[in-house]
Amino acid sequence: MESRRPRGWALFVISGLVASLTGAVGAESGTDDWPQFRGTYRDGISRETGLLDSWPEGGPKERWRQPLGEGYSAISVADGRLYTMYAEAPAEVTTEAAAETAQDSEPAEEAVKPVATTEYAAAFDAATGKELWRTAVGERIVTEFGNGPRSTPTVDGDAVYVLGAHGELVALAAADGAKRWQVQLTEEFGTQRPYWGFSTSALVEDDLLVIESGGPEGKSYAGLEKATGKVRWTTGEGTRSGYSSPLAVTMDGKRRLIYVTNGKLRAIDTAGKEIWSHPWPEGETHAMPIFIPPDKIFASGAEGVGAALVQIKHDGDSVTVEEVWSNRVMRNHFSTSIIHDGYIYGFDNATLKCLSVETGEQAWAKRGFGKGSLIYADGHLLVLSDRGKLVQIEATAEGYKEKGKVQALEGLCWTAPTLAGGKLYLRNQTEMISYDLKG
Amino acid sequence: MRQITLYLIASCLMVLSTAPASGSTVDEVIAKHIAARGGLEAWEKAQTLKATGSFTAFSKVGPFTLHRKRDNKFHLDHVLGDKPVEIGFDGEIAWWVNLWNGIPWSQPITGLDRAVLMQDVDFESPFFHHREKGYKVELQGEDDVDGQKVIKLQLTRPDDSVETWYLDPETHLEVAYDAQGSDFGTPNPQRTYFEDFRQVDGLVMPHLIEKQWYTRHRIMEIEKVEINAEIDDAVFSRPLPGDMEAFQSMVGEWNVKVEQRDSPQAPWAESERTSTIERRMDGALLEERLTQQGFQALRSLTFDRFKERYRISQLTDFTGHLDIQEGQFEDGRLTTSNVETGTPWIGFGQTFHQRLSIFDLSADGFKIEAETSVDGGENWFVASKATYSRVTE
Repeated sequence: MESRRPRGWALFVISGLVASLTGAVGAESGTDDWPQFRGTYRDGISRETGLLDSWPEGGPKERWRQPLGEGYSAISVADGRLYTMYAEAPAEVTTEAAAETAQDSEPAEEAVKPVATTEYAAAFDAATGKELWRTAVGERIVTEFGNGPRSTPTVDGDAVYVLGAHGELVALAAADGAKRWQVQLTEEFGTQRPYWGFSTSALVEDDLLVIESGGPEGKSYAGLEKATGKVRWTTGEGTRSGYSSPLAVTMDGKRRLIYVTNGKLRAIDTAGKEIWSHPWPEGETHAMPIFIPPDKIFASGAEGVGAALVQIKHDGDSVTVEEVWSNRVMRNHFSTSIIHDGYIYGFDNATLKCLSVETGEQAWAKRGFGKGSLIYADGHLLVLSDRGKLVQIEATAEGYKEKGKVQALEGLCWTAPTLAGGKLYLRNQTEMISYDLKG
Repeated sequence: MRQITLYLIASCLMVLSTAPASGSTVDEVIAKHIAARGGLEAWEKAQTLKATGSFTAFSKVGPFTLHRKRDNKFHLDHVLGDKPVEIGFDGEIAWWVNLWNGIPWSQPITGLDRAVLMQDVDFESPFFHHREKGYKVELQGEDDVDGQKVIKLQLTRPDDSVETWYLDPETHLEVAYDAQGSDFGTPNPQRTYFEDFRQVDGLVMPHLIEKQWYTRHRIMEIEKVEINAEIDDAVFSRPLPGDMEAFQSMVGEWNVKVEQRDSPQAPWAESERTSTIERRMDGALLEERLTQQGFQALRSLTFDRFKERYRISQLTDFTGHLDIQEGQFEDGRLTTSNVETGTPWIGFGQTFHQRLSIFDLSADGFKIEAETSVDGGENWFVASKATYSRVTE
């Protein structure tokens, strides 16, 4: 099938992509690393090649499995270590068990005490999955749809930046997890905790740590000195913190921080000054915006929000934002799409779809993954269904082409895969697993 | 003339381009659909259907049990996320025990939620006997559902709600339908998909039903189907608080033989009364109207789920006094009194507490005994005995 995308468009995308890589966050990490939420460039795309083109029966080779506590925090990888967050599950102590193990004459009822549980940031050996260190960040969040931390660690040099579900922004030493500084978002910015917990993943931009601080009165977003945690600037009106994460890109030769929150798609500079904004429907936009070099942004939100492609036009000091198209064909909920070769691949609620970047028209759709998540690597989509089925799909607009599958995990899986050094890392609420995608 | 001919041919081609490839009428499409589902005759032999399997909601998988019975009786017991939810429809009353609403007892399903439930209660697909059910079906040509060609039908229910159904043009089985959904009572467009059609006892039915609306996603995967299994009608009835079900036999018209006396030493006096007991609030309240020679009384029976006690309130036009009694139902006998509720009758320089007992409950009758205490509940004597016999024509 002939691609619907004009050739000129491809050149456009490639040249822009090259430009956007310069100075990207995490660039000082190893090239095979995945040092933050959605990878080096926060686009869900691995630049690795040489991965298995198709999988054998039973899936790729499993390397290890590691028990893990609750949480939706994704796995970051840097310098042979994995970083993620989890909550320690409460001890399941029954009255009978307590009575059996009671060493003294205490009544059984008194022996059964609720165990305080904690959210941790932790590092693991990427080769074995063994835990190297863990540091308590805050109290475990408990919700109807799963407990534990949501935010993904950001690794930058010898530091790891994490955010607890109750708003504890913490800088840790990557070597041993020692705390360097901590800022409580609810106190520093007057932020009310989002109902489902703080979920945004902090972004490193040079010496800044940028985060949705979620506070009122011009404190919607904040730039902190990453070395000290000192607040350098705050910006943006808004009354609440969302669940999306920011993106850093080079646009018109300048670094821009792009994010969606409080009814606007917005770009600021690294000093927190607004460069442009575009009205964005109030509602559930948890997915990250995606940059399509050199001058377009795609964003999507659930149900009534839908999707839109906007073009940023620069004319001297003047910047205008024009909507190229919008529709309700792609309604990302909590899983962000990826863009490859002129097509958007993502979850329209619980249907995996492929859309043309140029027109927004649907090329194909496939159900069967529930509210899954995906990344891209070496010509393929790696899709994890919400029930733990891992599927390799050819990334093509020509139609749905499955190249391999394996039941990787059981139970609820809402965390997107991570790929680094040819190794795939997945997690759910109880364990973490690694596959070798090279052999 | 030639221009007219060309015009007619062109017009004809335009019509054909929007009609199903087969050029079928709506009745022909429906007939093929019914045949594909196993046929009218086979389905008419089915009076009940029980299905079990797994239900996925909020990405969590749990078991479900579905009961169907003619006509349109529906009961689904399943788990949504980690909360059990029971939904029922007895042909008239729609109800649920829905912990997502924060209430662990049955509530009526009303408004939009009821309308959405009605989409699911047809024993077969809605196209079976659609005219008798008052459904209007219009053929709207061909369409596309996620790349699959489909025949498009518009179905309008008696309440004017509109659904768009998509059938496979080859098999004439359902592919999907679009309708109004509800998310906690808020309208949302909803699409339902049907897959994995299998034959069970000659009946063809989907074994995977998937719904998407708003940010929601539900999958029902049927593992086992039993046709014409014995299903008690009680399954479809709205659960009542406490053991209120035990008192539902009291509903009806009654002849009441009353024996009463003013003191333990007084002789019994007999009289006849009539009584009507009606269900209110789907049976959560039973209301009795008693009459005797122009004298009227109202009595109600409810269950207080918070205090876990039965409550009787009674008001007569003789005293104008509302008496509240509370008590327990044990060993087939409900005993209530007004000692703790503090609503005794006061007269003749004395305080009269009352204790009621309802017992010997059966389809044909029951008994109510009233005891009186003039010492604050220390000692009681039987003041009246009422024997209820069902009025027969």
